[in-house]
Amino acid sequence: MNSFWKYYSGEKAAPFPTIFIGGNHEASNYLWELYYGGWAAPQIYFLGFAGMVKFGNIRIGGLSGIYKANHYYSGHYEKLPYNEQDIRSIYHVREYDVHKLMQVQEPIDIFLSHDWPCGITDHGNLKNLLRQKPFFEKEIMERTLGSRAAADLLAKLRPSYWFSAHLHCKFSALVQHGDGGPITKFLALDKCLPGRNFLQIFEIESEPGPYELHYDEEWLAITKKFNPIFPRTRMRTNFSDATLNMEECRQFVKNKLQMQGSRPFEFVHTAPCHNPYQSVAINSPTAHCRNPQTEAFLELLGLQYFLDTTTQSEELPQSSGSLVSRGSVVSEDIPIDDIDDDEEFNGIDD
Amino acid sequence: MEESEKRRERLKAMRMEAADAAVDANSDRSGLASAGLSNPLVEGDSISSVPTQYFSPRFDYYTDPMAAFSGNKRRDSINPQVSHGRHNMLPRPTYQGMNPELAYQTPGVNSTDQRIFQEPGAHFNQSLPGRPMEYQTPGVNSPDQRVFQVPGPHYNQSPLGRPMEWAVPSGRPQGNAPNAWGEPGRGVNYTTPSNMSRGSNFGNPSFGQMDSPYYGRDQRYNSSSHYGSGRGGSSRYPDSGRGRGRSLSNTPGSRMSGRRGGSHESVSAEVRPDLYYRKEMIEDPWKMLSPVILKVTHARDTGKSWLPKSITMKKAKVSTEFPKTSISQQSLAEYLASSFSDSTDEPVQNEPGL
Repeated sequence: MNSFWKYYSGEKAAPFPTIFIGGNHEASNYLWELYYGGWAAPQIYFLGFAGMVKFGNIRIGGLSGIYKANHYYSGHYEKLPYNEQDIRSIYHVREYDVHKLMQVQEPIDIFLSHDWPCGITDHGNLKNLLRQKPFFEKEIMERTLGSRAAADLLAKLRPSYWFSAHLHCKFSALVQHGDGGPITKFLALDKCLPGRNFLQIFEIESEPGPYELHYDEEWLAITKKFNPIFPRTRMRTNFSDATLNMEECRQFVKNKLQMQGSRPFEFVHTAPCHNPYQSVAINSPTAHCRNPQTEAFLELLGLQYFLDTTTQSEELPQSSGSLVSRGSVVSEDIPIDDIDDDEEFNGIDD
Repeated sequence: MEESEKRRERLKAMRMEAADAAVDANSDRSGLASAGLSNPLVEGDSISSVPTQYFSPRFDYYTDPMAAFSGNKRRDSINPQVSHGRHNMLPRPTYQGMNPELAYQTPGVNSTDQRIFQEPGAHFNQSLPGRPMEYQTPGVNSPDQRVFQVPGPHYNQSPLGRPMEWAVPSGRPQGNAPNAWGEPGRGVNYTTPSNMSRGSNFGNPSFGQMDSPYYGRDQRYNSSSHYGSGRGGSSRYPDSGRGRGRSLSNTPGSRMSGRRGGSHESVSAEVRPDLYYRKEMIEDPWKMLSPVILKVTHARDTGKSWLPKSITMKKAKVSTEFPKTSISQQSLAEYLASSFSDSTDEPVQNEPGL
């Protein structure tokens, strides 16, 4: 915690190639620059709000953020400078990103989500979980613990491994997809604190290297198909407007990657490095910064940049009844997205 | 005759003078030994064999008489280590193949062309099964901008089965980003200093930072002075073999780890890596579980799907594209294989993956 700036500045370097997704405690404005994924720091790759990459021949996908029903059908309407509601909603999972992931057909080895797929507790040692976290019981019984979107992605994508976080405890589960079907090994880990199970080392079979990061061809094709309807309003996305042919998108991507290579664009600083001796932040960003990685990515795919622009639909009257969750935005309680450690540690030690 | 007697007297006088001079010389020579306030416990015939530096720190007897004793003990214990080297004391066979449960290693890749990549490899060295004694990320040298060499962890284990040293990945990208990260466009060039581990300090009984963790300096930690005893067992780490079980992480204080308000929560893993290690981290987290078939239902209060129509329709559309397949009855591999077979019949041929 509080040390990312050292990796951003280069004062420290991640010892391994590190891939991460966003949760509910990240610098959302910075991650928004890298919406499609990119190097957040040297050796530290952000998968994007939704994303898929290959490390060697290992295919890794992920969904950033946490699930909140009242923002799920909205577009990514938040714009800098964020207000109090934006700060809390920008990391809420959106239908648009889930829909893109639902289009993936090729097998996935590892999938990441910050919050757990809803219902995953049926597939592990629930008794032990409740011993650690007795206050989960009500939500588990009501089937409201976790992300419904992640649950559907789990059922659809059937990855070999699924890793999550958010609930600050270690929990493993084995999900079998139908009789005789493939199995997903689920694992959630704890916070990175002394004595906690925040780390897991395991082996996964792979082909010989090179072990480097590459763009995923199928995912880029999906991105190309759906980017023209990138939602920047509170309105629900109409996916039927994505008229590009998937096969043509795939062929386009394939040709591009063959010509220009499939390695992600390199890390670029977009903000001054933090100075720990400077007590007050100066020049806090209030406007969107176009990250060169994102610009290069969109140029590669021949896509328009929507992250700092308003679309035509944005100018529609916001009072329309067709807008999603207008009322709930105001009435929403500040999400308790974190778990208070006061209630933890019952029996967490050996 | 007189001359003869005078000569005898002069000769006698000369002998006496010479004898007096010899006595003075002996008395001066014996005084050298006590000139340095030598340690009476070691003073004696061996004085001449004691190295010169032995005499230098003697004056602490007056303020701390036990310093001489402890100093002697320390010297006796350290000198053999220094002379023979740490690695002779602790045999460090490579870990590969010794303990599959601990190994996280991928085969190395070296090629001679410009696209050389060395994947992350974990190298475990241990003398006996147990917990890691040393965690090191080796340096990386990139001969050119197309070389991306990923450091891997190196675990060296002692018979004690406890973390002994963590040489953190030090160093920073050489040069200034973005250009430091490889060739224009895509390249990544990550370089960290090498030669971090071998011959590192072991005899230091203190646990302390020996150098700054920043900017490429090595950082080594010895978590305890008890290494080398090779006896006993650890209740906390029952699989640590002959681990002595007196590591710092085993002390009552370290049991605070994970407790709210514990002082260790603010301790960096770079300073106290032992506090951050648990044996569960290298154990199979699914070994005690049996697969449970997934039920795709969600909220019990509504019988209908929570998904929007767009997704539901898309699902139906997908199912119509592959009418002969059933996700619920086929494995994903079979499903994809049939999908691929269908796609090969189309004019545009897709290549799975990259």
